[in-house]
Amino acid sequence: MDNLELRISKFLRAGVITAGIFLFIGWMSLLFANGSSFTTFQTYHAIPLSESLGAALDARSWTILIAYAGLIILISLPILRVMLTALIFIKQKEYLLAGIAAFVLITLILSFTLGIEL
Amino acid sequence: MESILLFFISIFGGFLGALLGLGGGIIIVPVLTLFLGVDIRYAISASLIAIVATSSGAAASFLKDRLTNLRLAVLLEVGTVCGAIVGFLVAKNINSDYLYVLFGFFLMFSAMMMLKKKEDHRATVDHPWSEKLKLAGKYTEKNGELVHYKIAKVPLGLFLMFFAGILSALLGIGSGIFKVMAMDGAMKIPMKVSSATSNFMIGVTATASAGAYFLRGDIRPEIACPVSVGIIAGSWIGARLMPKLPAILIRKIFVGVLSIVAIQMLVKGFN
Repeated sequence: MDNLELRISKFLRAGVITAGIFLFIGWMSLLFANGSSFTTFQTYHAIPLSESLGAALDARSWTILIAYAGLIILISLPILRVMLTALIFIKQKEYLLAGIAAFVLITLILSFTLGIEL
Repeated sequence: MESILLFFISIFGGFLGALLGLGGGIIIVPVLTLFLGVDIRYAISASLIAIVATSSGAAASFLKDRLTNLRLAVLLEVGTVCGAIVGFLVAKNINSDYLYVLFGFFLMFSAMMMLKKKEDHRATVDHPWSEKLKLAGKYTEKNGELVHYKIAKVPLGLFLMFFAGILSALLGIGSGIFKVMAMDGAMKIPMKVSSATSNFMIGVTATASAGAYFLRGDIRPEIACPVSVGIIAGSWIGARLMPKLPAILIRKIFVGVLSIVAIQMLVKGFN
């Protein structure tokens, strides 16, 4: 097997474990701070991420920030995976496939921006 | 209590998912909505983040077994990622009652597909796109036989992947069932390669909409943390216990449960 593929495997596994630890710590502290009830989630309220993050930063509530860090790590793993795949193809001089991977990467990043309400 | 309960249900969901070869979405969304009374929009986005977690873990081990066709996965991701964008936009503008109804139909369809016998198709001619990108591949069966396979109808496969992407973003699922259908049914790729490649692609598909839902603020850590941690732990346990458990019996029970949940989802949507 290609050495780089093996490295992608190891990288993904390490990423999931790191994110899992962040999410666990975040969850535990949220439990102690806010309790375990879901009543606020019975109806949908749109609160943009920038607002929640800003509030957490202002209040220096590390618990929520750790939880968000875990989520950000998780979401970036597949993006990095596509990036590394593009690199594999460049290394193998498969420029058409590398181009396709680059297209997927750009579309992924563009899709994120749809979540930002203007 | 709900958060702790959700954590244990997610462990079970991840466990069952690993055992039956399903993503967590099919279990997590009904549990959150029907059982814990959470709004379906929060349920869908929490489910997507859990799918990203399990599939990144799975992609790590699938790359090692040499069944995953990396070249094919990259091409088909073009379809799923574009579909996910459309799905996110539809979900944003749709009444959430329709989401319950659609999810109900998806559960029924999944139950039917799980009962269907799986048989391998083989393409005899390589599609020109497959030739150009050298997508055809090979893998070794358990008995040591080396299987070479060709790939048919690449454009149709890409088109079907687009729909799999829409459903993923709309319903918070990995839509592995539809991906496997496209690869096995339309492109005539061997079942083992289809499911390995599908599992590998699921993370990228789910991320396309999960990122957008995240920036919109729909992924709430209070829900997403217990779900993701539970699912990661559960699928890890499931993958290890898999050889020791009666998977066929569990599959039959699960199909029964799925049908009941499907009806409940439909009732909730129509009311």
